[in-house]
Amino acid sequence: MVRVELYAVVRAHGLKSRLLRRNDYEAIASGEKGLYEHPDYSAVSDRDTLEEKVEKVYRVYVRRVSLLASSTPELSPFLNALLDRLEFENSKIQLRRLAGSEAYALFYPYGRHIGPSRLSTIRSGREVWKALSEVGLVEEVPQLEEGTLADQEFALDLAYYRHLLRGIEASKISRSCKGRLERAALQECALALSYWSSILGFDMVLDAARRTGMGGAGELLQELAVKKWSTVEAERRLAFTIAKTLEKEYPLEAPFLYAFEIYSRLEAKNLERILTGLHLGSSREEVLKYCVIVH
Amino acid sequence: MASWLAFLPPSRGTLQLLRNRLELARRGLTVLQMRREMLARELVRLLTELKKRREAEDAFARALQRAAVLRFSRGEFEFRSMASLAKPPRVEIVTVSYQGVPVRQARVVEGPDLTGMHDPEFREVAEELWKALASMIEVANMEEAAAEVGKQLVRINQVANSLEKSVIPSLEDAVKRVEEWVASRELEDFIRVMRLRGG
Repeated sequence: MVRVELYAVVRAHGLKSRLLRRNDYEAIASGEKGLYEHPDYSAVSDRDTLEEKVEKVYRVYVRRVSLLASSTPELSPFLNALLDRLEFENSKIQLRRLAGSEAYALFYPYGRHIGPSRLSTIRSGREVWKALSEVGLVEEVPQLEEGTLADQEFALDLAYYRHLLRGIEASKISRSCKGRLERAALQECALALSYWSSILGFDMVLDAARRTGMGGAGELLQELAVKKWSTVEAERRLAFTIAKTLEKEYPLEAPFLYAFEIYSRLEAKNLERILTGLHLGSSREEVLKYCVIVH
Repeated sequence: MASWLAFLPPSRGTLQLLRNRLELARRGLTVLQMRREMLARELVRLLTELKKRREAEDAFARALQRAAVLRFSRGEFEFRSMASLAKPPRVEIVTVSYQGVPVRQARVVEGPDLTGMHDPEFREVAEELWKALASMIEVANMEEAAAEVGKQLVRINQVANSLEKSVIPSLEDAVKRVEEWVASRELEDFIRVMRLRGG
């Protein structure tokens, strides 16, 4: 078991060495270098539309984590659960689409369970939840008749972190690593809760977290004491408080995989920002200000 | 002198007709001058209002910039799906009268419905963008109105000038000519009558 875990970690270290660094981001944001010049992103062409570019960027993220998941079946429940975040995000996109103007939606290019093509044909919020429940991503369909879209999205976030905790539990790793991974997942969940507390109210979020078995994240939320929520600040905490600590404490064990997934996810997010900024004609400085650059 | 006036047969009837026409032209000129003043005042008012254009453009540019920052800070996937929660406004084109000048105007029948946007940052940006856009619509309406009122003012000016500089002087000349002719006829008649009486 240890050997398999070590194999995955070594591969993750190899993949981490390919992650973009500050000077790479600067070169891409200033237009000195094309994204396609980086081997992992060679499929991204200048002729692609913005949608195609960001989709290809996320495909790289999915490919990296999938590679680790497929090569280590013992850890795949945890690694796949990390990727399943995109399936939950796609569900949110479809719920918003149903609640709003039903305009053309851009889905993350990932679908281990439902997939964007099926998800986009679902015609009601209840059916979205039912589909998630059928494939085992959520344990039960919540009573949402009176819930707003925000309530549903909040419930989806909680469901995702419960799914992640189940994935950690199902993986064959040491007790200490499991404990550390669970704590990291709860820390990340607390960051998500801080966003929801700015919308739904602190007490409501705390109560819901406790009711759904995420009380640990609720306690961490109280420790966070975020006054004003910001995406970039949340991502900085994710990178420097969660991922960096995991990397430092467990450089050769499963928690490092979580750190790598966070770095890889942030790289996709940074590139999404840079490509959008370039598309909108924003300055290099402005775009980079919103990027969370770890290396 | 207008050509047709030169060919009028001089008579008392023609004199009466010309006097009536002259009176009508003078009254018309007075009405047009009053209307010209009204439209000029309206145009000045619209142009004063249009000074807001710079302010509206700046606010619109600021709102767009804020939306752009939000778009790349949250990412394309989230921005697109959040934006789809806003129900677009309903805008109609109607004809409105500005001092009697019909002008096509964009009227907001219903503002955008942003209640579905639960994210406060998105909602704030969308509200700011809509406010700026509504100001731009108002400015565009005023620009259109100023253009139409201006066009009408030019037309009225042309007619008033034509009345003032050409039609009325021509009619005055014709009236004078026919009056002189009528006066000389009356004098001839008077002399003829006196001769007949005095032998």
